Amino acid sequence: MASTTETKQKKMLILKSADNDEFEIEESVGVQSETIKNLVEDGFTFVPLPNVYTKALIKIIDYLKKHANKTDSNDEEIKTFDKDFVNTTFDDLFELVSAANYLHISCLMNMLCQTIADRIKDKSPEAVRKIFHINCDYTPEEEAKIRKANAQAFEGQFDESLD
Amino acid sequence: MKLHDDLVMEIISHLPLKLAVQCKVVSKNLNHWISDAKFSHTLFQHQKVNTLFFSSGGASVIRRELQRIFRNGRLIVPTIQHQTTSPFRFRVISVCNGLLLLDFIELGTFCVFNPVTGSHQLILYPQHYRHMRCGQAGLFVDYPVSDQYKLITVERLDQGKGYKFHLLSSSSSSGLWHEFQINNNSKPVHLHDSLHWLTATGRILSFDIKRQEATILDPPDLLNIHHNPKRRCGRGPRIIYSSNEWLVKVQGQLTLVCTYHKSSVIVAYDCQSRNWRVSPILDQRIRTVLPTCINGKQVLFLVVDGYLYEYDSHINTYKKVAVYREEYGFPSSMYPFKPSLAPVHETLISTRVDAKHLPGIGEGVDQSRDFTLGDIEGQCDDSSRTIQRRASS
Repeated sequence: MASTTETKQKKMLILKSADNDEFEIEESVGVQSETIKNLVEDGFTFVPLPNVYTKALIKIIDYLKKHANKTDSNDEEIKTFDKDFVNTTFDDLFELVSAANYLHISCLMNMLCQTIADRIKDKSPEAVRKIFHINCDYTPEEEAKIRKANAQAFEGQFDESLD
Repeated sequence: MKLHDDLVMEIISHLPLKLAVQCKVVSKNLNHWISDAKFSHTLFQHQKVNTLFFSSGGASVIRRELQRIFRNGRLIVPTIQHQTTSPFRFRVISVCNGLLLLDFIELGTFCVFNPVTGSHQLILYPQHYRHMRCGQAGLFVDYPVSDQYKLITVERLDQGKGYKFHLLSSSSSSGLWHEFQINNNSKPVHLHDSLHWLTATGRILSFDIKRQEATILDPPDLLNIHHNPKRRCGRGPRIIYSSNEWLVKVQGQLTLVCTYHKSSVIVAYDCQSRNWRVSPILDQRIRTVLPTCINGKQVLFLVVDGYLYEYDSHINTYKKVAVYREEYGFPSSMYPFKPSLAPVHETLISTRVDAKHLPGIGEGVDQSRDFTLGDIEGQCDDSSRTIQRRASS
C-alpha cells in the first residue's frame, strides 16, 4: 500500500541560472519559492533565473530538497543541515540572501538574515562598514555627534575582525 | 559583493534593538532609514519585545525607584525593583508610543525621553504649575504619523471652579505653553488623539489633542450605589488616579475600574454610542490594574488578592489566569510601554535649567535607559538587582 505514489509521474521543472547552467528539480521542491510557484501557476516548466548564479543556486536547491521532505522525525537532521548551510563567508551569505530574496523563500530569508545579524552583533561600526562595503559619508564631527547621542550603545569592547 | 540597501536594512532589523540603533553611526543613509517609522515597524516584528510596565509607586508618595513587571507568555515574572541614584527624585507620569514623560519634581521640569535612542528634551513646567502640587500631565506622541509630540498639563482651579489645561507642542520654537479652559460638558469624548484624567470625585477630564478641546465626562450614577466611605471630598477634587478607581483605554473603550472594600466593578464608555457598559460585580478587591497588549489585542489584567484576572470586555467576563505573588508589589499606577524609535527634539535654548542640575538629570535618565534596555532585550533574571552607585557620585 505504501508505494501508490511511485506510480504517479512526478512533475519536473528546469531552473536556469544566471550563468546558463540548467537544473532539473521536482515541482513540489521548487514551489517553496514564491517566485517559482507563481511561474508554475502560469504554466511554466522552464524557469530562467537571471539574478541567481550557479554557485548559490546549487546550495539553494539543496536547501529546498532538504526542507521539502520535512517530517517530525528528521527535525534534528534539518537543524544540523541548516547549521552547516550558513557556516560560510559573509560574501557567500550575501549571495545567498540576494538569491533567497529574489526567489521569495521566506524561511530561508529569515534564517540568513538572522545568521548575518548574529555575526555582526559585536562588530565595531568600522567593521560593519567593511563587511557590507558601505562608505562612511559622515564628517568626523558628525560621527562624533551621533556617537555622543547614542553614547550608551558604544560602551564595551568591539570585535574588529571581518569574518 | 555589495548587498542591495533593502537587504542591509532587512539584516539590521534582525539585530537586537540596541545594536540596530548603534548602526546609525555606520552611514548617513543607515541613520536615515533606522530613524524611519517603517523600519521601526519591521524591527519590532522580528523582536520579541516585552511590554514593560512603569510605575512610580503611589501617585502621592514619590519613591526613588521604578518597578517593573514584565509578562512572558501568560506568566508574570517577579518584579525587579530598580533603585536610582540620581540626586533628583523623578517619576514616570505618562507613556506614549515609546516615549516616556518623566517629572523631576524638585526642579519643576518635565523630561520627554526615549529610552531606546537615549535622547531627551527638558521642558519647564508652565507658570505656576509647580505651586499647585496637584496637577497632572500627559504626553501625546504623534509618531509614526509625524515626529511631533505634545505635552498637556491639567490643574485644578481654586475653590472648585473647574480645571485649566496647558499645552506645549514640540513643533513650537518658542517653548511657550498655551492655556485652555474646559468648554462645556456636552461635547462628545473621543478616545483617539485624547488624553484622559480621573478626578478624585470620579469625573473624567478629557483633552482632545487634534481639536484642542477639553471636556468633562461623568461616569454613570449607578456607581454611587456602591457607597464608598473612603472617597475623599471636602478639599475639592484632586486630579489623580484615585486609590479606588483607575482609568485605562482598552479594546477601543475608555474603561474605569472601580474597587471598593469588598467588591469591584468595571464600567466601559463607548465613545461612538456614548453609552456606558457595566461589568458583573466581582466580589473581591482589585489591587492593581495592568492594561497590556498581547498579539495586537488589548487585554486588561486585574490583580486581585493572590491572583491575576483577565477581563474580557467583549464577553464581559473575568477569568482567573495566574497566581500573583505578594512580592511582585501592588503599584497604584502602571504604564505599559512598548519601545519605538520615536525621535525626541532637542531642549530649547530658552529652557533655562540650571547647568549644575544637568549631570543629576542625566544620571536619572541614563539609569532609566539601562533599566528599560535590559528588559527590552528580554534578559529575564528573577533576582532583585540594583544599579551600582557610580564612583563619581
